[in-house]
Amino acid sequence: MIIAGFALAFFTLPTLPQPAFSLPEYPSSGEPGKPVLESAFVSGDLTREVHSATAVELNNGDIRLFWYGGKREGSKDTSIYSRVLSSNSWSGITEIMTRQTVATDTHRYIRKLGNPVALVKGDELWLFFVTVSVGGWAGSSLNLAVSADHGQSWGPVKRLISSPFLNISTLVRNQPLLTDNGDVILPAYHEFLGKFSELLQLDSSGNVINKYRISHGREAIQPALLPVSSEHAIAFMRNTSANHPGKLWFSHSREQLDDWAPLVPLTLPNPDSAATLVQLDSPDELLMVFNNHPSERDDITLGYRPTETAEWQLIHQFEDLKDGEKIHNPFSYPFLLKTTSGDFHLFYTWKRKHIKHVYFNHAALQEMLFTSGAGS
Amino acid sequence: MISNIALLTGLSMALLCVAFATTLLPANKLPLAARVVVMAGIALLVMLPLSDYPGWYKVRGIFGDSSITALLFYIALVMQQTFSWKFYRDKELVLLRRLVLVSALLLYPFALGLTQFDSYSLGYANPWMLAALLAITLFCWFRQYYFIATVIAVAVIASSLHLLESRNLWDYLIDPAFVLILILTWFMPSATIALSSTRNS
Repeated sequence: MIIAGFALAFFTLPTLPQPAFSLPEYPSSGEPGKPVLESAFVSGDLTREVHSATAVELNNGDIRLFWYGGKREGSKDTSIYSRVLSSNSWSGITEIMTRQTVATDTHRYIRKLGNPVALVKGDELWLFFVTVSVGGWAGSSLNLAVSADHGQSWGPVKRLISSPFLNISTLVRNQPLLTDNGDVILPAYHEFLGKFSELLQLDSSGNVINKYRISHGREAIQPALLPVSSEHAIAFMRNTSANHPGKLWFSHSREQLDDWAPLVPLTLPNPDSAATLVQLDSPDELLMVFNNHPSERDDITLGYRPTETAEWQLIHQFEDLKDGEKIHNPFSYPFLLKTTSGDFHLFYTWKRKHIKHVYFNHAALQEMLFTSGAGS
Repeated sequence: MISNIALLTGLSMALLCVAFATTLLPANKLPLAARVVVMAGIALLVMLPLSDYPGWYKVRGIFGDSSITALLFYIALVMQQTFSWKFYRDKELVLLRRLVLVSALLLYPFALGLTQFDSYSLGYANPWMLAALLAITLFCWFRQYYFIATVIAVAVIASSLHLLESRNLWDYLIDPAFVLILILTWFMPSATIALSSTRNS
């Protein structure tokens, strides 16, 4: 039996080639025209608190938004909500994932839900999110639900296994990437004992088949991953370090995806908060939305980097807490989406009460660049 | 209607709870019938719905799935403690403890971010890890540690057949509850007494 068992194991052992990213196109322009910059609260008033918005452009060009909400961040009534922006009009809000749904599908007690992250994969819409059975967010596990109808209905929730220690403490926040063979590279992070970033590789059935560590220790979480070639990527990370706080972390993959350069602090500040990035006309030309402060989440700022070697420039401020106003972490968890038509949709948590949506087109970006002096 | 897979998962969670009880309760001091009633009672408590869900949903939420080696060990442990049926020799338990504790030391600190090296990632389709396991299994077999050799081989087969949700070989070999129960069999006086008593019977 031993020989037969191991023979079977060796015979069925899959080969895991290094993943090659399926590179996105970098549509620059958008239609030339009038600058448009407009904003609105989009999460309704179904729940007292809301957080962690994410969005995805569907194959038909609509934007589907996800967030979670409840009485408060960790309360037992948290659910994941969603709505669709189609032809400049928002659909009604739908509660798409509840504790009960996930408990029934995964055969596990679920205490709370959080941090949705979505991906269009062929004709399917994949939704990753975290659930906690015991304790705080450090006890999170990952889940995956797949929709075949752009998010109107969802298949059974699948539990992802990503850690040997009770399968806890794996969370997601930022956009996954696709590889050229259809695998998914999901940026993830840990918060139990260690606070570090890694990448999970999932096959087309949603099984975790490999993982790659970006950082270790208690330094950096919530990696925002961007491909710079089919084999290389860069990552910007939230700074959780006690020894080197206050600066946004950066790293890049070297020869292979499991070999990442040591963390480097950028000149940009980071108050232990998430940042979001998109690529513009080339892999190196970046837009980033972040909190431009070393210790407070009092603003939401747009940064621009024209080339790999250039300095970051601040080109717009979407929020700035008024003098004298005291609110803990008023603006956080920004998520920036660039559409195939070259427009931008920014979502972020506004004083924990709302998800705010800011739309700006390419002409508005050009105007911001010009006004700030970055585009001259 | 509960599916067969859910039922088996529930039973594995019940087995985990019974194994914990076996190491914590001085069951060997009870008559056989009382032992069986206690163990069956614990299993029933875990399997039956107490509120919205069966109790094992909570157990699984906390501990996750048991590894295959753990499940086989729990069966052997419960059978030995309850019915005095021996599936492993005493020194085999000692070696099993050592193997599992060394594995835990090699696995958990690195998986939890101690260094840039992540030993957990070795469990994904790694022929060298499989070769190391084959060597350990053959060593155990030729040294007549048949129980250990068998449970490792069954875990490897289960991994090839993807019987658990995980695709990582480590998850078929070891889990934190298994480590804890093995430590309990070492340190808990009741377990020591139970083992000694079984040894003498």
